[in-house]
Amino acid sequence: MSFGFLNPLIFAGLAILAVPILIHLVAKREARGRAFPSLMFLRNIPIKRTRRRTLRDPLLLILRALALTLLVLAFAGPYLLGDATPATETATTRQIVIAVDRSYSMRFDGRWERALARAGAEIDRLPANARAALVLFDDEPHTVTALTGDKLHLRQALAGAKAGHAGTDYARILAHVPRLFDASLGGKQAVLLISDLQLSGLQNDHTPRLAQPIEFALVNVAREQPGGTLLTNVRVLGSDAESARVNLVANLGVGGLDVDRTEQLRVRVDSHVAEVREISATELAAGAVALSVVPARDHVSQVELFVDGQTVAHSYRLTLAQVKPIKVMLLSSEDSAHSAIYLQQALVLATRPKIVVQRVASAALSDAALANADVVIIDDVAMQDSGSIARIEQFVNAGGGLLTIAGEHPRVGAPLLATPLVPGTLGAELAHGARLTEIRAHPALADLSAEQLRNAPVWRRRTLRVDDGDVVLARYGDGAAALVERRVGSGNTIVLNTGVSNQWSALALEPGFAPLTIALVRHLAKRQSGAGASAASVGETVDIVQQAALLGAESVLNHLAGGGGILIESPDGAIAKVTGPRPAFLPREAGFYRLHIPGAAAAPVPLAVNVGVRELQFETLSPTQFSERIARLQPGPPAADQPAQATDGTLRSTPWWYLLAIAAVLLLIEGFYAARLTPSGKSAREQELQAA
Amino acid sequence: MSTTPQYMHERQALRFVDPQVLARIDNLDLLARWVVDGFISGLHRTMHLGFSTDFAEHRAYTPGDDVRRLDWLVYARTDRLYVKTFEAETNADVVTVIDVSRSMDFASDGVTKLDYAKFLAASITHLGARQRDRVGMATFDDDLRGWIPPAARHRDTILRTLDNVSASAAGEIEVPLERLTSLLSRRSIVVLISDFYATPEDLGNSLGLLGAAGHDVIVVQILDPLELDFGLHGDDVLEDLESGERIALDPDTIRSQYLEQIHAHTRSLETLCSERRIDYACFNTAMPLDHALFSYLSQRARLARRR
Repeated sequence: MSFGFLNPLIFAGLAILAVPILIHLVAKREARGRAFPSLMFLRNIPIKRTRRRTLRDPLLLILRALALTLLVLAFAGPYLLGDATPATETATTRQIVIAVDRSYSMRFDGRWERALARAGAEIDRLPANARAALVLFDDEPHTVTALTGDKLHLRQALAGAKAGHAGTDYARILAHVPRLFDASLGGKQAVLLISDLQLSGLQNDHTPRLAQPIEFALVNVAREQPGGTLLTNVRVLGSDAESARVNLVANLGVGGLDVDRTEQLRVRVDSHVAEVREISATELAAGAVALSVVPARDHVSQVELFVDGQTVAHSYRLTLAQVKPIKVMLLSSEDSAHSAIYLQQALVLATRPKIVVQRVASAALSDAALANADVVIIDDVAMQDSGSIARIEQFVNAGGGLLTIAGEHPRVGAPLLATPLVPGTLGAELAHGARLTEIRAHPALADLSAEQLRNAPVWRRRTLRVDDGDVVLARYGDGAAALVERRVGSGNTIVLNTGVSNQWSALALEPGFAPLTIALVRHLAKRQSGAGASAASVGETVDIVQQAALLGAESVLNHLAGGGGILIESPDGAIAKVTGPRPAFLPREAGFYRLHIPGAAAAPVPLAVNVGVRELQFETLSPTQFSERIARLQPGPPAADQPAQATDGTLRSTPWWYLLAIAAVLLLIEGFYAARLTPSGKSAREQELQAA
Repeated sequence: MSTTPQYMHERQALRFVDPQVLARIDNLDLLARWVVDGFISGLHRTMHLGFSTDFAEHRAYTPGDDVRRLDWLVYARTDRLYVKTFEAETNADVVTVIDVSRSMDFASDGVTKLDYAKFLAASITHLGARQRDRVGMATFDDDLRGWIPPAARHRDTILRTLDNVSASAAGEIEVPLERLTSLLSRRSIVVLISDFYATPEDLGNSLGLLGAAGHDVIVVQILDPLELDFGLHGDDVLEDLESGERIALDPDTIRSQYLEQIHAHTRSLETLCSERRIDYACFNTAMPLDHALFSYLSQRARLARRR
């Protein structure tokens, strides 16, 4: 049995023990003395005056001092770590799961070493008839050994354990633990959780639960929150076209507000130190550092930012590529000149990637012009030339994007409507107007909401029947489709069921118009916002196509489109192969992963993976607080969740209650006793008799 | 060493009543009857030893004797003046004198000395009345406060008065007893009940005054157990009940000296009484009242036989 205190500093409060002693020493009797019939004889005696510095009523002093001591002890938060643990019981067979936290936060402040030492000690203390299983966990459990009584095996397994980079999820490990027990073995079942009790590990979507019969013990290896600064995130603000510099903002966490500390920020680009600078007090206070880097022109750069703190050495990685602008060909006519201006003005606002708009008359459409475009916008133009329509169809089939603004044109029966280029089936013009009220959750429109466009009246629109396979991106208030998408060949087409000009709608006058247009163009061009920079997190699935698109890694995209597989090299050198049209992988380690195209001579595409932001919140809980957040489930029929309670051989988080109760009882006794010692020094009985 | 068999001690112990029990009896009449009739009834004969009516003799006339008591037949035969003393002694005046000074209003645990004195006075009054003595009572502190002249029918008056007696002033013995002596027109049995916090000189003068007046004085000193053993511990401030004077002291260091002083005082009082042929008894308020009376009356009887 071992024990400790959650708040040992409270022991300074023991100094208040001096108070009752001083009271006993200094306080004098009340001025009124003890009645005595006559002092006739005492007057004749040479009286030795009172011993003023002697302790009166030592029992009272002891009671007061003891009560205060117990109060201080209670507030110091004593806890008992089970004998421990379940392991010391020898009478019956016990099954013990030793769960060791190996999340990223365990790397700091010697937590991992303490966890290993404690787990090793528990293994050594296993009685002969006990069986133990070793599980490492972060955001998911990893069973290292099943139940075994072989201590050597357990020791060896423990020796091979390493701290990881993933987050913490206590709910998952507690859900996993019951599966490790063997019901046929009988005996008591217990779990010993060795962790830093990180708060963020409890802030997942599901509540940690543990079946009631399973004993629950905690070992807290966190001493205190590590000082130092953590880089929680790096955002790309934009780039300077001329110098090719990319502006970044690094967000600082944890110790970022400790302005007394001096820490250095180092920036490495492709293994070369690009910048070393001290983080200023202002930046620490603001929790953000602005900097800029120049990525390589011919490949994706690996950018790594380091903070060397006093106790924490932490880094953040991202990949940067020179961003190519999206080229948009805007087909317009004399009639749609106004709306074309709206569209042009909206699109030029885009950054990362920028959108370059080339306005072309429909009659001047050529293959050469199309070859240089990523997206074509048909802005209310009557496309009568079948050759132009065929070129556009070919362009879309090859992977291009097409946005059709359906105002006056194309009218019913127009040649363009005979092709699959316009999603849905456009019909006659509707007499009544509407407002855009619903924008579907779609990657292309993720940053938009209907609120941004709701105030824009749409006076004119047409019937639009949605065909099979078409996707409605937005609807009007009456439920009619406003934006419909269709996949055509390798490309996408979208139709907007109204015009942009002021004869059709006021959309162009709304604040949401530019974001909507830019988002649609990016989606059609298969380019993500902030393209050119990428950083994923440990424990979160990485969409390789999405990441490759962000980095402009066309070779990877083309290889995947061709049905080929990609080799993923993890930071520790392991190779895994992914295939399929939309391959993904789950990174378990922070660092740079590399995407290799098998057999190709091209340089691998790096993917930056960082520790999850939640895991970087190092705030920890006390064992008591932690236990209270664990729901204990009664066996049998479902019962209301109950907070975890320590059982025999487990963490006892309640000693302070006992101490408080004993202190209260002592104070009551002290009160009664003190009441008997009346101010005049007479016993209560004397006073009663006198009163009588 | 007592020759009383052990079983007698046990029987007596069982019969005697705790003063605290008596303190719960509001009616002094009832209390006196209870103590005297219920617990000392077995001593009836013994009591007569003290206030005897059996013996009778002629005593030579001395100036001051009531001439009505002269036995003229004896004078006729012998030509000498004799008085029939038996008549006078069997109908004696019994005057109980109680000290009601504030020092009497003290109890460390149990009844106060004043209450104990009241119980005692009530019992003696009842005892006297039952023997057809004339009973009277006086109370005093620094002066004579109450006076009920001896009379055969004053028993109830005395008991009622006792009920209302309370301590209010500081004590003094010489002046009140001087006044009492002047009030007593006949020789009486004077039972003086007090804690006797006075100098031996004052006490000697006062008792001498009563003795000189021909009174049969019985001195009953009543003390609290705390006064006798000084069982205080730890630093304390003692306050004189009468003067209000306070003394801070450590009782443990002066206990022996205090005990020496109070024992010397009681010894001197006893000696003083002995010299003046005065009966002296010291009662501890922790003693059962009937036991105290029993002991005293037994002792008085033995002394009377010896005399």
